[in-house]
This record gives sequence, C-alpha cells and structure tokens, in this order.
Amino acid sequence: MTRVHGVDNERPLLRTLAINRRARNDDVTTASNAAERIDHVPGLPPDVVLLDLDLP
Amino acid sequence: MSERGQLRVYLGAAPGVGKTYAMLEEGRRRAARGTDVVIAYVDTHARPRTEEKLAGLEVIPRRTVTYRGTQFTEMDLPAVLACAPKVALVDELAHTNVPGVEHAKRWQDIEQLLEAGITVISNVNIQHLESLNDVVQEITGIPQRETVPDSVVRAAEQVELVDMTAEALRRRMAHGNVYQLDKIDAALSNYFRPGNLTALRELALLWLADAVEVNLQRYREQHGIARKWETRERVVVALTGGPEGEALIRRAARIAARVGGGELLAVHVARSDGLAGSSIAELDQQRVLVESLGGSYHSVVGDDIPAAVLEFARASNATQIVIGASRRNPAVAALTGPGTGMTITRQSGPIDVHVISHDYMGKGRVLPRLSRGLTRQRQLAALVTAAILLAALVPICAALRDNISLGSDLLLFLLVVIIVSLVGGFAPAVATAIAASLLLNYYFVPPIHKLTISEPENIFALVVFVVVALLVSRVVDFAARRNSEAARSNAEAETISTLAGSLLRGEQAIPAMLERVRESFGMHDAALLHRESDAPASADDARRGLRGTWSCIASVGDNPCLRPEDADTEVPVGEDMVLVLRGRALAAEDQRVLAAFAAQVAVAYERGRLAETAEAVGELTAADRVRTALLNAVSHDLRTPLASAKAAVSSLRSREVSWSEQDRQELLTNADDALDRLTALVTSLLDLSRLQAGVLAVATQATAVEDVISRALDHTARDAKIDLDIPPELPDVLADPGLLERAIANLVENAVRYSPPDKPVRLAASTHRDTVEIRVIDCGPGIRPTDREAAFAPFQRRDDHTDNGQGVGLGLAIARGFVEAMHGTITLDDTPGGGLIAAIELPTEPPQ
Repeated sequence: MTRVHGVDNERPLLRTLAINRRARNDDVTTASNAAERIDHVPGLPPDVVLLDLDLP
Repeated sequence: MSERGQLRVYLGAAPGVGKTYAMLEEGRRRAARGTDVVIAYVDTHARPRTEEKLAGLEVIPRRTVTYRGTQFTEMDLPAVLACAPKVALVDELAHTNVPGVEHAKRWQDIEQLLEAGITVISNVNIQHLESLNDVVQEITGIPQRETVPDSVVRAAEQVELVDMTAEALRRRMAHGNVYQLDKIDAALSNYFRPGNLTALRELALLWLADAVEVNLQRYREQHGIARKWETRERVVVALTGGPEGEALIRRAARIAARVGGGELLAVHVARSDGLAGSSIAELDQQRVLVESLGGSYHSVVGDDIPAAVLEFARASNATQIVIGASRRNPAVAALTGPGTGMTITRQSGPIDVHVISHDYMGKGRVLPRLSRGLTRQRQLAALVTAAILLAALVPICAALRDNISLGSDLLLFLLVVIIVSLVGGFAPAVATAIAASLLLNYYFVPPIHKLTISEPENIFALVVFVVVALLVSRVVDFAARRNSEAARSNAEAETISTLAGSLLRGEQAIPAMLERVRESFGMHDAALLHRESDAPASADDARRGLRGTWSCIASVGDNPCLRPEDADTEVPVGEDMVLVLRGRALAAEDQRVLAAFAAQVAVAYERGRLAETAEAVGELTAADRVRTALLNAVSHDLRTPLASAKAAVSSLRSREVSWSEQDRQELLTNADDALDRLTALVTSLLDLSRLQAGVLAVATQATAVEDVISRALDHTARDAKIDLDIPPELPDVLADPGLLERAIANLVENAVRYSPPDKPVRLAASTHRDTVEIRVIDCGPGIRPTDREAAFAPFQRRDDHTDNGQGVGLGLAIARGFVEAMHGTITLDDTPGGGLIAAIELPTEPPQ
C-alpha cells in the first residue's frame, strides 16, 4: 500500500484523484492549500506527494 | 404685553445638514449665559449626536393629539406660553399641525410665541419655502406638501445658513449620522444624489443672497427649467483689415455678450481686384482675437464691399452689424460719395447697424481707387475725359494765343494725355496723344487752321510731344497694372491664408473646408468627388457624354452637383478627385486661388485617411492586447475545469477498477460541475467577443424589471441567499431583456462571490423621474474609488488569490458593455457600512 498525498486548490480534481487512488487501495490524504497539507501529515511521511506547482 | 420676541431661523439646503444641531448649540450657548431657554419642540430623529445636545436644557413635554383614531404628538403651545421663557427652541418651521390644535401651521404657533415676547429659534429647509416649492420639485422630482410663506422667514431678524457641501453630506449619510442604516441606500440614491444636493444648496445660497428674483430666473434658464431664449442674437462685425479692427471686435463681443448667449461673427471682404488697404498680419491677429472671444472668422470675396457684408449678414441670420466709422477724410468723402458704412446703413433693412468710432477715423488713404485695374468702363471714362478736356483746352488756348507760347500749349496738352492715361491706361492715352497732336497742329502750329507745318522746328516739337506722351502713358499704365496685380495677389493671399489657417487650426474635416471655399467664392454649393472608374455608370450616361463614374466624398450647399459635367467650375484634386463648384463662373484669377485650395483639400483628405488608418491600427493593437490578455487569463481557467471533467470521465471509463455506486456518482457530479463552469466561462467569453467585435445585436423593448431579475437569479446563485427589494409599481424599462438578464446575473454573481456568507446580497430597484435604477448591493470588501474604473476592464479580479479559477474577471466588463449598448449607465459606489453597490440605470419606457 502506498501513502499518497495530493495537494491541489481544485477540489473536484482532488476528489477524483482520491477516488481513483483509493479504488487502487492506496492510502490517500488530500489538502487544498499548503497550510492544510502540514496539518494533515502527522507522523508518517507520505511515499508520494502530488503537488500542484501552480498553487495560488 | 411685553416687547415682541425675535425670530432666528437656521436655513438648510437639505435634511441632515445639521440645522437642529445648530439650533440646539445656539440654545445651549444662550443658556450658558444665563438666559432662560426651553425646548418647545425638537425632533432629534434619533440621531445620537443631536440627542447629546438636549442634555441640560429644559424640555416642555409635548401634548398628544388624537386625530381619526391615531395619536400624534405636537408642541404644547399653551404650556410654552404659560412657561414664558426668554427663548424657545422650535424645530421644523414648516410643520403642519394635526387638526384640532390652535393653528394649522407651526409658523402660526411661532408667531404667537413671538407676540408673547418670546424669542424663537427655529429652522427650515429650503424646499419648504413657498416660492421655491416648484423649483425644488422640478429638481428633485418630489413634491413638497409642507410649505412656509417666504415672508415669515424674510421677516426673521436673523437667518443663518447651515451649509454643507454635497459630498460632505453624502459622506455623513453613508456613515449613518442622518438616517438609520436600512434607509441609507434608498436615500442616497434618491433625494440625496450629488446633483440634487448641489442644486438645492445653490438655491439656498441664492435665496439667502436676497437675489431670488433675478438669480433664480437665471438659474432656471441655465438649467433649462423654464423657457429658452426666443431668439439668438448674431452680431456680425465687418473688418477692413485696418488697425481699428481690434476695437471693433471687442466692442462687438461686448454687444454679443450683453444680450446673453449672442454669437459673434467677424467677416472680412477680400476684394478680388481690390483696395490694397488690408494688412494680412493685422487680419491674422484679428482672427485670433475673434476666436479667443468665442466668435468665428469668415472671409468672403467680393468687389462691392457693402453688398458682400450685407449678403453675409443675411445669410448668417445676423441681427446686428458692427462697422467702423469711416476712415476717409470728410472732404474726400464729400467728393467721392457715400462710403461703405453709409451704404451698409442705408441698405441693412431689419438688421441693426452700429457705427463705432475709433482712433483711426479720417486717416484713410486718400486715393486708393487709382490703383484699380483697367476695366472697360474706365477706358470709356478716360476717352470721355479726353474729349471734354481737349474740347475745353482748345478754346482757352486759342483765346490766350497772344499770351502763351506754343511750348506752353504743348505742355498743357501733355498734361491732358497724362491724366487720360492715369484714368484709362495706355490705349486711351495713345488715342488722346494722336488727337492732341492733330489739334495742336490745326489750331496752334502756324499756318493755323491747316494741317501743314511751315517751320521744321515745330515739326520736331510736335513729334517730341507725341513720343513723350506715349512714353509717359506707357509708364503710368504699367504702374497701374502692377498695382492692380499686387492688390490682386494681396486678396488671393488673404483668402489662401484664411483657408490655410483653417487647415492648420484643425478644421481638417472636409465639409468645413468646402464650406469655407463656398463662402469665400460666393458659390451656391461645393462638392468633392472621387472618380470610381473611367467608364460611365450606364449606357444612358455614356450617350449623354459623361466621362466616368463619380462618388461624392463631401458636399455643402442645398443641391450639390454630383458630376463634374454639371459644375460651373471644376478643379482637379490629386489624381482621382475633383472639386466642383456651382453658382457662378469663376474668373481666371479666382481659378488660381481655387487651385491652391484644391491642393489644401487634397492634403486634408490625405490626412483624414491617414488618421483613419492610424485609428484602425490603434483599434487593432488594442484588440490584439485584449486577445493576448484573454489567452493568458483564460488558459488556466479553461484548463482546470477541463482537467477535472477529463479526469472524472477517464476514471469512469477505466476498466482496471470497479467503482462503487457512491464513487461513480461523485465522479459524475465532478464532471458535471466542471462542465457547467466551462459553459459559463465560454458564454462569458462569447459575450465579450461579441461586445468587442461590435456586433452585439440590441433589441430594446419595454421590459419588466422584475421578470428579468427573477430569470437572472434562476441560473446564477443557486444556493446564495439574496434579498429582493423591488417595488411592485416599478415602470417598465427600455432594454433588451436578454442582455439585461446577463448583466444582472454577472453583477449578482460577483456580489455573491465577495459578500461574506452571513450577509445576504441585496437587489433593489427604484424610479428616478424617467430612469429606473437597479442596484446590486453586497457587504464584501468593496472597491476603492480610485480603482473603480479599472475594475471594469476585462480580466480584472478584485483579488487574485482567494478564488480558485471560478471567474476570469469578465463580469463587470460584460455587464458594462451590455448596459451601455442599451444606452444605460452602470456605476459603482460604496455600500454604507462597507461593500460595493453596482447600480444599473436605464431609461423607462416613455408614455405613449
């Protein structure tokens, strides 16, 4: 199981991503801005971070 | 009974300027000095700062009056009289009492208080003054029922104006110092519009300046409230080009100004063979002066100066002509008959003529006429002169034969020849010389009465006489011709300089130049034609001998000719154009001036074309910039929903994973939402491109605002809460329902986006005379006044970070484009207490 963390300000896109990864049995956390991202990553660092480089 | 009390009135231009406050201040000041001050009646309108001022003053309780089952409170007149204070404060001088108390009007109550020796401090608004009632109603559109006779206020010992600028008052209102918050918006956009307030303030100041009659009349006229001027005075000042012109122009300008709105026209007649008395430099200065005084300068060509001036004056519907007193010496004037001024005066008909004296009177040139050219009449006159002089000279010399020698006879006859050459030029002089030599031979050279000559010396003398006579008359004739040519050149130069001046001063519009040439040459009409092709338009035209097809670029006059064949005069302009004039055949010399003018027209035409091209290029550049900005702005905004939709749909189509029903629903919702946003964005872009391409089809019709608003709300804010405040009696507006709907929808969408969730957006409408205003009011962050104009530019967002691509900043640009296409206006303003009001103003359907 891969821990995936997605960060994007476009929520529908983020939800689609989450649904996709979960369907493939990944552990998905999401955030729609940078501050949220830090809050949502407790102890375990994610294996993959999908980050929108064009965050507002 | 004690002495009558004094009345002090605070006069205000509008509610809220601080009359009650000023009145209470004054009361407190007097109370502090130990005067017995009571408050007989004050309505603080629950304004906190006014209420503070009440503290410490004795208030006489109001009495309650019941009228038709409703209870009203009124000033308790008997109680105030019983209290008998030194000073009583009474609010609202114009108040109408409820029936059932002593008087119908409060000013009558006050009158009784004054009678009782009580000094009264009161206040009134300008709109309550009887004499101004109708004016105020015309300005504000709101009838005033409560009025007070002017005499009451005028009789007051002191009237003090409580003054405040319109801007300051509006700011006070916006801060909530005057009305409760819920009424502010309506008040600011109705009665308290800046224009209304300024007009009311002006009225108050005028009234107080004790100049109501005169100044209000002027005010009404300036504002077009009452009738207009029946006639417009037009003052024509005739200029000779002499130094006295400046004084004439200033005098004429004063005459024009005195009649109010008079128009000043200066005219100079350039003589085609003319008087060399005008200085081009002087005329040029005078033209500048005329224009700086708001008049217009005209130059016409004509030989008969009085006729030319009068013709010009009649053509321009002049009511007055200003001319200078004669420059000629009175003795000369007596010899040469009536001058220009006299002739104009005699023939002016209904036009008033002012003859203005000036410093240059009687200093004209004595013999200007000698420099005239040599017309046939002049030659004839010369021959007549020769006949008379010779006929007179022969008997005189014959009688004096014993006393004067042949040499003196020769000189006398030579004098006659020279006079004739001065009058009629060379040819008459030659004829005279021959006649004179024959007469001399016959009558004075021995043998007398025979055409033979006995002494060789006399033959020699006679031959020398003829040669001298011919040489002298040759020189005189030459000088006269030169002089005439110089005068002619001068006139031409004047005309060309006027035309060139008009070109340089930016009158490059070809019709204006054509008008000038028409005027200068005294033609009926003038047109500039462009050759479309060398072939005649139809076989019929070809049969009539037409040389090609022409299109008219510009024309002036009632019935301009549209083909060179119909013209009296035509001058080629450049390669493919021709200037055609109709009215009279033009002399050869005038043709030269006209050719010069044609060159000017060609330049003007070329310049106009270049300007058009430059404008088109400018527009294209602007459009290009907009397009680049559009691409930059929308590339992200278009891609994001597209990516969302694509991701969701691709996921659904994927066969590696089996989706739960819930996941499937969510993915479908995502795709649907993203596509909705894409649709909205593309619609906006299409709207914008239609606007910018200028192909927006606007079909205005009587439109019910309420219907449009409800449709606009249908598909904009599905979950946003919006308060509606639309009066049911709102008249229909002239608008295109579709465009208005899109404009309102855009404004509402913006308002919803920026308004905090707990404060609903308000949508209000109201009528102002012949317009309806629709206001979208939010309580968001607002836009600073300096940034408001920029906010209407496409791709402007109020803040570029909070939003996640939900709008491209097209809303305001589209709303404005649509509203203006429907001849409405859209403005932004502050919401009292923070936020933005976007107001659309549209004309109402005029009553049939």
